[in-house]
Amino acid sequence: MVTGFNKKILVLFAILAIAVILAGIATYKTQQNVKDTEAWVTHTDKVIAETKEATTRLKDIVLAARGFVITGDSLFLKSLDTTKAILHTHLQNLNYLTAGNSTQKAKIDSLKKLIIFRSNFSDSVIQLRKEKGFAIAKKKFSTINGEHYLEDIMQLHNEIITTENNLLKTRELTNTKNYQHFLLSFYLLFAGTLILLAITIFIVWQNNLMRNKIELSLIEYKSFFNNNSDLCLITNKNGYFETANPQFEATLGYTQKEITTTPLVKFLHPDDVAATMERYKEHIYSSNFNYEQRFINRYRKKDGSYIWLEWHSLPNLSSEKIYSIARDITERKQTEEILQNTLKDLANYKYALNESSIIVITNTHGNIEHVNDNFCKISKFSREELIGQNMRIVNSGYHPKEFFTSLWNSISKGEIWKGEIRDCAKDKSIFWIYTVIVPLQDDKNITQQYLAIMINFTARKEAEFQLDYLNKELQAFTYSVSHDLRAPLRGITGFTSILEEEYAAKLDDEAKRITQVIKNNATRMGILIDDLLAFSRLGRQPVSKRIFSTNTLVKEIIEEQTSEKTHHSIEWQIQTLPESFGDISLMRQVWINLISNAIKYSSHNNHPIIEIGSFRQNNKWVFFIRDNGVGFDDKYKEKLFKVFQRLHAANEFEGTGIGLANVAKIITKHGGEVWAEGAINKGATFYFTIPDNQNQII
Amino acid sequence: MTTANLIDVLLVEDNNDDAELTIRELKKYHLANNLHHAKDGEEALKFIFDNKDADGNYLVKMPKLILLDIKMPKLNGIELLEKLKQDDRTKLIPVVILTSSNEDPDIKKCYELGANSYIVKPVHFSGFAESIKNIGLYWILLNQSPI
Repeated sequence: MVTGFNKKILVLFAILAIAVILAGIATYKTQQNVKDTEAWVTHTDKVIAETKEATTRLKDIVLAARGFVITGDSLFLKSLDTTKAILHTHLQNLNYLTAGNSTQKAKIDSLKKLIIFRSNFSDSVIQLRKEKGFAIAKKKFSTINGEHYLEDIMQLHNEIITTENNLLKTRELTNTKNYQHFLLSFYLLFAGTLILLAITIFIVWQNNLMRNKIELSLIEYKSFFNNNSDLCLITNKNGYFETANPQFEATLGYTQKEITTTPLVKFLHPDDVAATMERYKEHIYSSNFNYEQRFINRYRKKDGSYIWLEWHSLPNLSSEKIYSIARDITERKQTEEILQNTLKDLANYKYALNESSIIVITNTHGNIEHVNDNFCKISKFSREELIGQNMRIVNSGYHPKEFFTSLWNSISKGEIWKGEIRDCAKDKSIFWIYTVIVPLQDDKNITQQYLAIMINFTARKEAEFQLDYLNKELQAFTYSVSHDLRAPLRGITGFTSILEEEYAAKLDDEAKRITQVIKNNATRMGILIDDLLAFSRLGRQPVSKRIFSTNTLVKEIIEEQTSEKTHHSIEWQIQTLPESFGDISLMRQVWINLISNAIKYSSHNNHPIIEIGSFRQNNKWVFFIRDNGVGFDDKYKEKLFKVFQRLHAANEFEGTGIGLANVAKIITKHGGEVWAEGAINKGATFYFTIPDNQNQII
Repeated sequence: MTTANLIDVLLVEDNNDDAELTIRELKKYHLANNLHHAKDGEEALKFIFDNKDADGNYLVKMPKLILLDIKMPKLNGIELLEKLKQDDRTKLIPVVILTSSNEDPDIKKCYELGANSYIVKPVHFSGFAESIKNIGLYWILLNQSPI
């Protein structure tokens, strides 16, 4: 628009300028013509005057000659020569003045000839008067010739003046015309100048207006450029930045000078150079490419670190520059990276979960929306048969209604449910799955789906049933053993006692000793059976844990153990013990065993010392009981805790070898450890740990 | 219905040795004078219920005390206990359960059924003898029978 307008103005301006110039030329020419005309007027006046002068001088000569002839007085001839000279001068002037006009010149020439001829006639008359006197001279003088010449001269004189006057008139007419032309030209020139001035003023005004507009928009755009939070750049075809906005400087930390004097390739991350330069060339040299295509690369900051920039560029093909806007997307990129990693992790987890577990996703009504291959495999249904069906499709009818009611109560409250479920496959085969049902909630914590992660433990469950069955069998066996083995023993001891009591008189001392041996052995066997039964009972007994005072327990046991026999010589060194978390009746057996062992095995010492204490190790309490008794051979310490393993002879220390086995069994059942240190005749120390309350998984 | 209070103690025990030792011990304190030994539950039932007097009427024998072993062939101690305690005629007879083992899972059941006492027979004879003596003295001499 502006360009078109300017073009039109320029064309008009050029035409007007040419018109003004032409008018100027015309004015000049007219002025010249007027000047010429004026010169011609003067010229004509001169010619007329010269002609008149010349005829007047001739008349003077004629009059002088006539006077002399009549009077003979030479006084008349006195100024004749001077007059002749003047006449001659006038004739010469005329000759000169009419040099350019042939017609006039011919007439002037004729006039000149006649004047000279008449002048010469006068001279000849004068000569005759002088030499021959008046008469002859008068005669000559009276001839018609003289008068005739004069008449011709006068006629010619009048003709010349008339011609010259006519000429002057023509010229004056031309002069007037020229003057009118001049005036017209002048007015045109004036008008043209006025128009030109108006146009110039208009153009200047318009330009000013436009410039103001442009300046305003420049200020506006510059403020966009300067205050933009994005990086704005103009790049030239030499691969340099021409200008960068303050945000670019601030973001990358370079000065404007560094930015404009460093090739753009130096700002790029080495890995991005090739792609960026290809893009740059596309912009600069190619007219067909996708402007909308965003471009991402890395720029090096002044401090050497890199940031991610996303570019939107527009090339200007005519100026061979690229106008670019870039946004710092480093943070987004990092977030994306984290997101990518998280997604990858999630995918890995999903893969691992899918591979390791049986997965079912249901809607909130328990209708199946997704199953993995493992579920298809175990349920023997195809995916198509399962999708849309309720989970009841695999219900085996084994669990009571309350089981599922409680399950639904939990998960519908958004709680995770864990448990064992017995399901039934398509072919009516039974499978057990350990199931974790996780309610999947949306961002408003409203459950949308249930994710069931399941492990097939049918084999383990079968083994459990087997174990259960075996346990029951074992119980029956134990029951039977305790009955059937004890009855004969009662018979042996009973009848041996009868023998001793009722047939005492018939038995000698040896026989009495032997009956005693029989009774002792039978009794011992009874104890063995009882211990064995107690040991097996331990295995089945459930552990019910609570916090109890170890100090009180130990104190009670020591009192029990020392009251019945004479153990008052024992020196007890008992620290204050921490509370324990365990089954108090089982732990009582542990302490009884360990304390009674310590008493028993230090009984041969003259000064028995038994130390009971505890210390902290690996975030657990370690209890210990130390005696200064007979100790044991360290190389057999592994045998200490085995059933019926004894490190001492029965006649040396009584016992069945089941006590420490019980201790080990109880501690293991509590999730703790037990071990012992000792050396022969250097005493023994027994250690055990049981987990703290907070570490306990119940 | 007539009752015949002919005996003091009914011992139901399948193990002859145990029975002999028990009887011997009771005899020491003259507690086995009116003692009947049944070899199993069935025999005990017959002994109690399957009696007729001269007129042909059924008689129920009411011992002062029944010593009852649990593990027996045919009708075992618990089954017998159940029958006795369900029958109005015999449910008041004191029954002491004698068993070989404290492993017995039926101890609780015996009490539920109404056993008056539950004794584990010790292996060693002196303990056993002591037990039998105490039972006999308590239930036959000291205890005031409801019958």
